[in-house]
Amino acid sequence: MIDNDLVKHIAGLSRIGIGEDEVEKFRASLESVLEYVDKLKEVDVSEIKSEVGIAGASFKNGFRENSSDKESALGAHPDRAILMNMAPKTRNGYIEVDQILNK
Amino acid sequence: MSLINDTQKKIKDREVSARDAVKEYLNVIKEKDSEIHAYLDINEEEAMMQADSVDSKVDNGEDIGLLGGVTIAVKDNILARGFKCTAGSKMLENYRAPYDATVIRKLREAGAIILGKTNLDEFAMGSSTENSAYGPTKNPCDLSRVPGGSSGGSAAAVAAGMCALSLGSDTGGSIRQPAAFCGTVGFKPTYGAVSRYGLIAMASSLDQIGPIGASVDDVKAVFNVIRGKDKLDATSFDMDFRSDKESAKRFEDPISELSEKIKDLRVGVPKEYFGKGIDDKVKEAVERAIKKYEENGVKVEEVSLPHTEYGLAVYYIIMPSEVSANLARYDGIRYGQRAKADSLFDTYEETRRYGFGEEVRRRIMLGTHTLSSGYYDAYYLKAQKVRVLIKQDFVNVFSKVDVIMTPATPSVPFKFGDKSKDPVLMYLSDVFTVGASLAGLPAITLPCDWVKEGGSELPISFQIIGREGGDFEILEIAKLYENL
Repeated sequence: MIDNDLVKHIAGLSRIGIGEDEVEKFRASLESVLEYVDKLKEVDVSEIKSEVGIAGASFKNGFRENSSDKESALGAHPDRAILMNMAPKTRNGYIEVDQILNK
Repeated sequence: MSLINDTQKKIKDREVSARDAVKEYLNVIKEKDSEIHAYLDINEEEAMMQADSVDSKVDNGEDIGLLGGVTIAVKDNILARGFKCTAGSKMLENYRAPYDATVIRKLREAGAIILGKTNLDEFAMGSSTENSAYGPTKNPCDLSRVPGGSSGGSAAAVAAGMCALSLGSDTGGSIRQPAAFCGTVGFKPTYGAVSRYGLIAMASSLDQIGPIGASVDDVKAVFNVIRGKDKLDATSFDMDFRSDKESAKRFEDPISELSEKIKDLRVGVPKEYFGKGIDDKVKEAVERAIKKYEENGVKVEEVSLPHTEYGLAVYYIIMPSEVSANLARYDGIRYGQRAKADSLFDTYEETRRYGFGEEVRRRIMLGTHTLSSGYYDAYYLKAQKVRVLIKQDFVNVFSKVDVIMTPATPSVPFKFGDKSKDPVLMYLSDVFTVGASLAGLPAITLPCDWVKEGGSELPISFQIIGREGGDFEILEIAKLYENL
């Protein structure tokens, strides 16, 4: 059902590096989970028109005014400096990332 | 029995100072936690400062708040200023919470004292805490057994007397299952009843914060403080729409007699929760607990939730799908660890390869697959539709009964290593808790028996599931059990 190439493809889509020695381990465990969830095939869902409706009658979309009020838009967010200090690499007040385009 | 009432009375009557009360808990932690490993981070100084502020309020004759002097431990996926927040992952090893989650703000405002942060399966993914990057937590009832998970540290801390109460998060059973394994009370509120602002997201259509405590009164008191609409969490709402409900009123009335309270109460017992895969000991203990209600005049009837057997399969499609989206944020750019690599793509891959443990990587990959082009309809869309059927099952049953009673777990706590090699076997630990999660319903687990096994006493718990917004109803019905 799942081969090693598919495992590597999924890992790439997930931006997760996996070693050659790990491919088989992930292949086997992904396959066993997918085999387990395959039992959903036997459920008739032809009456269900849409997946919307999980929420009951009491759940409604929560709307708010689209205002520029800083607190309601962003919450009680901390200082910029605190957040910047969390970044692994910064330069001149910016978060630094690796080069994307080759010269 | 209520630890909160006892503590508060003693502090208000000046039998003990908040400072001494906190010191006592810190002493228990020093004595026991090197063995149990429930805590990942403790802040003594901060706890003492909070205690002193409670004591000075007592001195000045001021109100100490609903939770004044009450010690609380917090699962390490909920942000609390002054503490690290690792989510049990290497990815966030040095991450310090830059702000308080809404639940933490509310607890502090009510006078609660945050003692520390508790261990969990990495990013709340697991049923045993064996997936924590910082080593497993041990079950205080038997150190060779798991405390359950993912809120294993929170449940163990309460069970070992290392805090009065704790907060956990529940996505498919992560509050209720560990609470059951440690012989404590665990409560998952209705989806949206408690704000999740400041909770590290796992699966957003399922995640819910809730309390773990030694008694129903205690978890109820904490729930009362943390619940309510929060403008910082658009999925949160106020429960007040239920206050006019007759049954809720009946249970909230403190003077009505027990017999009056349970008159007309109808309990449904779903036959699908007592079939194969459940330990005989667990089954018998839970049946005895339900019998106790019946002997006291409660009407008990068998009901059917026909799609129960598909719950776990639905869960293991929807949850990883949401996980794959939510955990995309851990890219090593804005916070957390960043691996050194030659290109940005490689930086992502290497950061996530070394930052995430095996189970987290498996679930992200699983969810990426079930959402990917060509597989979406067969997996994700199908699972969402079956989820609607599961929800409808509950709606149908709640037109006949007030609450549903089931076992909390299929077995007593298992030993370390017993299930960690086989993901599907581990996933089956949540078979009785995922239903309420998928349907967004409130549910509580509480101990109903203890069995001897290999020289230790192990707890068995049952679960009460309520209708949407029926949080107080199930809390009161659970409280009745303590008095039967």
